[in-house]
Amino acid sequence: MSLFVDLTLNGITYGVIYAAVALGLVLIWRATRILNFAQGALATLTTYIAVSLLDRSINYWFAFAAALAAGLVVGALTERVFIRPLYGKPELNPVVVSIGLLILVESVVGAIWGSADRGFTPAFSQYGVDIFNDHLDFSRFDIFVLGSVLVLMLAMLVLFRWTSLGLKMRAGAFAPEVARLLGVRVGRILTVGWALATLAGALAGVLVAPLVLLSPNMMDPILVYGLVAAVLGGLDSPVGALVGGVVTGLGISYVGGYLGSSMETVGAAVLLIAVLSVRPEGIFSRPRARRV
Amino acid sequence: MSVHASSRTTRLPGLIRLPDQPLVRHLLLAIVAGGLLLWLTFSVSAFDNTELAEIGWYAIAIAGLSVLTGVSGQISLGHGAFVAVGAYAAGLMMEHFDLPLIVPIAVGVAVAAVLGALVGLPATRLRGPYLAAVTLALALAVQDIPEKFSSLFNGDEGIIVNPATPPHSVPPERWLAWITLFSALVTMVVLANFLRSRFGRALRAVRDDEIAAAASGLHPARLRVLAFAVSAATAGLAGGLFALWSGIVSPDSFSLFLSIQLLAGMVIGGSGTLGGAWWGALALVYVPEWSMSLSGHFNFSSGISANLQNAVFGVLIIAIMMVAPSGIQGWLRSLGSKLWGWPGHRRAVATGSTPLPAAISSPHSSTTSTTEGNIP
Amino acid sequence: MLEVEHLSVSYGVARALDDVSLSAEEGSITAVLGANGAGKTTLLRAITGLVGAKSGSVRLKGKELLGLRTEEIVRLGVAHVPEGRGVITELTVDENLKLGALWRRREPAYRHGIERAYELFPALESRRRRPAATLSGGERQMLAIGRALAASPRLLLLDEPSLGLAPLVTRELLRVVRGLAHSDGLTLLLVEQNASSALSIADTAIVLNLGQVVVNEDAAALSSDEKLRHSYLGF
Repeated sequence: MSLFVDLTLNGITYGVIYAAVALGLVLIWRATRILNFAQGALATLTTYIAVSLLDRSINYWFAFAAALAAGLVVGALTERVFIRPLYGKPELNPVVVSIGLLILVESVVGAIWGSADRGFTPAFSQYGVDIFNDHLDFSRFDIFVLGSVLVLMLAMLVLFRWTSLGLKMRAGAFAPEVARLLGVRVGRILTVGWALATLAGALAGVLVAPLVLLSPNMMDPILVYGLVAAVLGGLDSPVGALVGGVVTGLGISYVGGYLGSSMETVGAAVLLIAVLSVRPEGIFSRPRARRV
Repeated sequence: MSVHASSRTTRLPGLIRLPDQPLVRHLLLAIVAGGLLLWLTFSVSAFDNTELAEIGWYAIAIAGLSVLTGVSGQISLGHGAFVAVGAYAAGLMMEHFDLPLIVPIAVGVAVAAVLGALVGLPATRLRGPYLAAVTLALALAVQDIPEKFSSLFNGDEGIIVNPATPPHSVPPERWLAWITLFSALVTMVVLANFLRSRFGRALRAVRDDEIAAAASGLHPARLRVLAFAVSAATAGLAGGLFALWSGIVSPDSFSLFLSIQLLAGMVIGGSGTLGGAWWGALALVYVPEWSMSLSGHFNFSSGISANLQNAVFGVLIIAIMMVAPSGIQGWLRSLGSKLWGWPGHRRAVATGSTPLPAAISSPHSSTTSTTEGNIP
Repeated sequence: MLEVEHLSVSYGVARALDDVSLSAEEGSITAVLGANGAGKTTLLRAITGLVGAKSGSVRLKGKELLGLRTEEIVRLGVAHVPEGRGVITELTVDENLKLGALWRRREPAYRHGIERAYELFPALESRRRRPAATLSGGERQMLAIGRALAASPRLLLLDEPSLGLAPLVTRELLRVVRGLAHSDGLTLLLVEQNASSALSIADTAIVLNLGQVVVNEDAAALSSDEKLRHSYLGF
């Protein structure tokens, strides 16, 4: 029983991290129909920035904030420099560019900071809780993970529903041409969108680093699981990102716990195929009619 | 095009005439290329021959991916998985049985083709990013299977493959290069004819407008599965040859990175083209070498030099996408048409001038207009 | 207010607009008429920069518009209600209106523009918080026009406002719009296939055929010229 509880809590913790990655993917997808494969690599970059601050004995919270801020900057720069010039060209070009960026950023990170695994100590204890006679594998840090992703989601919700910027972003995503006709500077909005998406990824990065060991390729599997989560939830749906993330996290956790960790990737693939066989566009997708 | 009643030829710059009949033309090209390559294998060192062999199987793998992505419009980020399947199947056969080389290789091709069809089945309902996600997940999963069933696949250590025994007096590296390059040329001819055939045209029709294609009597689902099977078969062939070339088949050789490399090679060479597969293979083999010698020249630390080669790939991919999205082959074609008035594309092969298809993402036009549409 | 000179637009090899010229004075209503495919929509899209022009010039009070980005043209005081209305159905009525005026947010007149839209189209007031998807065709048209007016534009381009609407609704809509031209000095370019209703409120009429201007007349004169009406407008 306690294995099940541990696995469940573990699955939720990782699940919300996948959800954060998924949220970034969904944001960019909604606005631009681009799958940003560099999402993970950019998060690795921002996490290394944080860790180099930690190395200089700067306190965790400052490093944490720096990672998030770096996420905003890096995301905006990426859109301006690499993606903007490709508007109007075939849609697969920016996707391939993002794959190129993935490779480039990971190798730059490796060149600057070295490829060795390293630790990342958070401000919270990672030691689980002792309840009665049982040790629950759920620590203060895990609570922090859950809390921060929830705060992120809430902040995004508020931003989109209740601010003018959010209104412009939604309009730009739903109807870009109409938005232009209403004076919305769609280009700037897209830059902001990328900045926010990379912020979400940066959060995922700092949250996962203490859990999996930091290395230039750290985010590779996380990106894949985040993509699985985003796709499961329906690429157009931020809510779907959260639900997809938790479902993916739980699924992988149970598979890993009961069938062995080498089956985790198989579990993810099976889960994805199973859901997509029933809902080819994800759980929260809206049925789309096609005009011929 | 020449208008002379008697000739059935296509005129290329000035003097060269090629027959119009596609099969003949492809065979001729292959023979000429084969002759050149043969001469090469005699003039270069053993190490270079090994590299020629490497170019050979890379080209085969990339060509298969090109058929899938460029012609059929289906993105696959797990192509490396089919290479792995072919390699393991062939490797296991070679380990347990003593048969002429062609048998294990053929088994590799067959197994990969079957698996490709199996993957293609659920893939028929999936579009763009959803398909990308599934292929990505599968690629990741495949890497873990040998570990799980380690008795059969010998886990992390992998399977040792004995090199092919060359006939008397032929050095083994040259023999390997012959086998691989010959297979590559055969593959190119087969694929070129396939793409030229009604299957190829049907695939392109489905890629460009699926509903219209279905309305014209084509079966998009079946064609998609066919594309997957064909592409997986070529990857399987590449895998079998890789097993021979590398001498060992282990999970390490088939990480996600291989799939990304193949994608990179396809993009650099020119998606959807067979010529591009060769450029891509060249890039995949020589860029790492070149960057290695660059690091040696500048005395970079090992940390930097290890990452330099990947960084160069990343930069190449980005640069090509931004400057010449049709890859090297596409760029050459447009250069050819500017300088010598070549036709925009030879319909023998998939139009390389089309950059990667828009089919990866659900195009905006295929969604119900969320604003008021133009429907009166 | 608006000067279009020798405007030519091509879609690939097809000439959509061929040497089109027109001018509209401040506060005037110009009807742009013609058959399907004559280039009327292309004309509007070229003015607001949604489509690039091959040659010619479009000037708003002397300022050249060609080459500017759509959103910058809009910020110069141009509003364009596109063919199909362009109501964003995922947003509420209020959000659609707000969106129209957002770029003027810093100005004191911002809220006024939105309230004005509700005054002009009272039916929208009761549906403020409802998703625009729940509106009927006529209400969506009101929303689209109200949204365009929310930023107090100087030039308003309307592309086939009567499409899909009952004649009574159309007449009311056009009446409101004409009122605005007179009261606010709003310059109006009205594209319509329904020529008679457009002519009834217009000052000038332009007829396009295959991308070229074939008639450029006083609207009343065109209305009464039976021969011209028959050959180009079919009634």
